[in-house]
Amino acid sequence: MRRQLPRVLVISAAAAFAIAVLAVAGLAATGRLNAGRPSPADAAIGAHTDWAMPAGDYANTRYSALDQITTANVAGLRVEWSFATGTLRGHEGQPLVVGNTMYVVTPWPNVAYAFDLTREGYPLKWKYRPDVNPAAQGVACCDVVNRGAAYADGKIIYNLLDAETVALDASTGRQVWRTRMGDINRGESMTMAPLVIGNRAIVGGSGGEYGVRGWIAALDVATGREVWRAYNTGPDAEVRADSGFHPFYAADREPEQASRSWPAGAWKIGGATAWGWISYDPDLHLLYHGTGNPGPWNPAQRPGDNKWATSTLARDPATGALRWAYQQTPHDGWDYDGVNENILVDLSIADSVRKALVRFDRNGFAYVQDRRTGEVISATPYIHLNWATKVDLTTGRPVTVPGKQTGGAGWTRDICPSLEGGKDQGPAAYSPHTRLFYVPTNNMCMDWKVREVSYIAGTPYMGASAPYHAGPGGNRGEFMAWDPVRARKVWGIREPFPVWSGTLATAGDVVFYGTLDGWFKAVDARSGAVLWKLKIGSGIVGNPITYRGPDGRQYVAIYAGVGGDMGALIGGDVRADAPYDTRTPADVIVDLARHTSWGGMVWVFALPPRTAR
Amino acid sequence: MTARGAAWFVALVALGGCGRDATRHPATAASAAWGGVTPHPRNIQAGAVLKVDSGGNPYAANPKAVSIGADLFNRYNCDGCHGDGAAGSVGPSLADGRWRYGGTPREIYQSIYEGRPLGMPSYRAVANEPIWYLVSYVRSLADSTDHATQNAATWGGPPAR
Repeated sequence: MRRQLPRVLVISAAAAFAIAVLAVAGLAATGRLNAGRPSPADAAIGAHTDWAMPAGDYANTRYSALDQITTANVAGLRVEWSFATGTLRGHEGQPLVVGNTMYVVTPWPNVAYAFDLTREGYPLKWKYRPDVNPAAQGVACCDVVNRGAAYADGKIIYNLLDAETVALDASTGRQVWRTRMGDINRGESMTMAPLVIGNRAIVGGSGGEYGVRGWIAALDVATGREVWRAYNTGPDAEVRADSGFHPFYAADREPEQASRSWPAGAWKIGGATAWGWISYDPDLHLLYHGTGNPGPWNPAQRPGDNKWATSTLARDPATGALRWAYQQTPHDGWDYDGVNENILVDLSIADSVRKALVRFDRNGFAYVQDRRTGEVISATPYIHLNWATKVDLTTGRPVTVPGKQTGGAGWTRDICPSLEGGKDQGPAAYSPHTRLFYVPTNNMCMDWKVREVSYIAGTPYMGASAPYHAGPGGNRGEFMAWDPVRARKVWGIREPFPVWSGTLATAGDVVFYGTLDGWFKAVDARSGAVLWKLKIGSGIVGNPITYRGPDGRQYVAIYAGVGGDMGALIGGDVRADAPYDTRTPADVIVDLARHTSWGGMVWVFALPPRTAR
Repeated sequence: MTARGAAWFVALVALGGCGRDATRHPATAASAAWGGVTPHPRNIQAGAVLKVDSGGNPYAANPKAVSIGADLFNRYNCDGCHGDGAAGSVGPSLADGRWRYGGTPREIYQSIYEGRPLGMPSYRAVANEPIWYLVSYVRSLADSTDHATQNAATWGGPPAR
C-alpha cells in the first residue's frame, strides 16, 4: 500500500535509506576498528523485517514498517507458538529476531535460547546456561530481570545479573567472551540491554539502591575488552567531561560539578546508574543514556544537585566523552530515576524541523529536547504530578513545590507521581504514520519519610519509606497516545494496575501493549479502541516485537511473566494481602497477587495464513 | 543407576578403590576402603533444614531486646530487602510464620551470621550481640497462624476496568 510520506521523519527511516545505499554499493563489514561508527552490517540489522535491536532501531522508536496486521484484520490474531522459559520472575525486555532465528534471554539465571523459525514448532537450535552467582539476587533492587540481548557481528551479547557481559556465537551458542564489569559485593549488578554501535557494545550497571557509583562502558565486540568506561559522578576526568563538553544551560558549565554538587566524597556511593535504554544518532554520532536516582534515597544526606544523577547524557560512542548533559530532577528526593528511553525523532515545531529527543520521564514531565544541544524545547506533565509546577525553560530547572520536598522530619504526604514514576522502564513507541507516541503510564502517588541510613557495602542504601496510593481517578495506570508537538494526550485506556509493559507501534496502525494482570492487547493507533485481547497466563512486563517470518507472514511476540519492581513486590513469599501483613498501609500494589502469579512464557501470534495474504 | 548410586560410583572411582565390585557389594567393601567410616548413614532427612537449637537466644528475657532489634533492623539496612516491618519485599517476609532456613533462634542467628546463598549477605562482621537482638525482633513478628487460603469472596472478584 502506498502511503503518504510523513512530514515527521524518524531516524530509523533515514538509517534504512543509508543501509539500502550501502547495500547496493556492495560494502561489507570488515570487522576492523571503526571508532564506534556503525558498519553497513550494523545498519542492515535495522531493516524492516527482523527485530534485531532491543528497541527495534537506534532511535528507540519501537516502530515496525510491517503492515500485514491492520486495524481491519487484527481481530483474527491467533496463537502460533509458545515456549516456557523455565524461569519465573519478571520477564522484562524482548526477544530478538535475526535471520529466521529468535533469541530469548531470561531473568536470572540468564539462560539464552535460540529458536529456528524455519521449522515447524520452532525447534531449539541451542541453549546457553551460564553460571551466574545466585547471591546476585540479593543486590537486585527490583527483581532479577534482564531487558534483553543485542545482536552484532554474528554474536548475541547480553548482561548477566552478577555484573558480567557475555557474547555467544549466534549460530552455535558457544561462549566467545565473558567480561566482568562490576562486583556484587559492592552492590553492582547488570540488567539492561546492550546497544551495539559499530564494534562497541555499550553497557551500563544497576545498583542505585545499593550505594554504587554509576558508569557506562564500551566493550570491543570481537574480544570483550573494555575500550572505555565513563562514570556518571565524580571528577571531570572520570565523568569524561573534557573540552568537548558543552551543556546547554550556563549553570551546568562549571568545572568539577559532578563531584562538587555532592557532600565530600558522596559521589563515590551516589548511584546515578545507567540501567535503562540507550539510543544513538548516526548522523550526530552521539549516544544518549539516562542516569538513575542519587543515593541514598534520603536527600538530607546529600545536599546539592547531585550531578549527574537523574540526568540525560549525550556521549561520543568512540570515547565515552561527554558532549552535553541535562539534569531533569536536581537533588532528587523522590527516586525519579532519569533512565527512561530517549526516543529520537525529527519534529516540526513552530515551522522548523527540530532534531528532537523525546522522553517520558519518571518525574512525570514529557520532555522534548534538542538532541544536538540538550536544550529543553518543551516539558509538559503527561500524568498527574504535583512535586513541581513547571520546568523553567530559561534555566532548564523544575520549579519545585515546597510542600512536596522530602528529607525533613515526619511524612511528606501525597507526592505525585510515586517513585515508580509517571512511567517506569517499559518503553514507549513512536509511529511516523500517526505522529503519536504510545506511552505506558502509572497513576500513583506516595507518602515519603526518611531516616538516616549507613553505607554498608552490598546492602540497600536507601533510608526512606514510600508507601503508594492510587492517583486521581483511582485507576493506577493508563495506556495513552501523546502528541509531542501539541504536547497533549490524544486518547487513553485506563487500567486498574500500572502499565509496566513496553509498547509496539506498526505501520498497520495497530499498537500493542500488555497489563500486569496478563492481558495482551491490540489497539487502534488513531482511536485507542481495543481491537483484540487475550489473557496470556502471567502478568506482562515485557515489550512486544514484530517481525516477518520465513513464510512471509507478520508475527508479533511478547513475554508473559510478571515481575520487575511491581511483580517483585507481589510474589515469592510476600502474600501481600494476608491479614497479618505488617507493612505500612497502602504500600505497593497489595491486590495484584489476587489477579496474577509468577510465570515465564514466550508467545507468538499471527493472522491465519489466508488472512495474512 | 540412580543419581545417588552414580555419586557413590564416582566417589569410589575417585578414591581409587575397587569401583565396580564395591558398587555391587558396598557393605562388604566398606570397612577397609573407607577407613572405618560407615558408608550407610541412617536417618537421612530429605530436604530438611535441621533444627540446630542448642543454645537459645541469651537476650530472650531482655525486655528491650525486641525494640533494640527493630532499630538495628533498619540500621543494618535489613529493611531494604525484607521491607518495612519485615513484611517482605525483594527478600522474603519474616513475619508470615514461614521459614526457608528455619525459625528457631539459633537458625535465624545462622541465617544472619553466615548469610544464605540466594542473596542474604553474611553479617558475620557484627556478631554477636547485635545479631541476637535482631533474632529477638524477628521472632517477635512471626504469626503462629498460617493463612493458607485466600478466597475471592473476601476481595470482590476481578478488578474493575
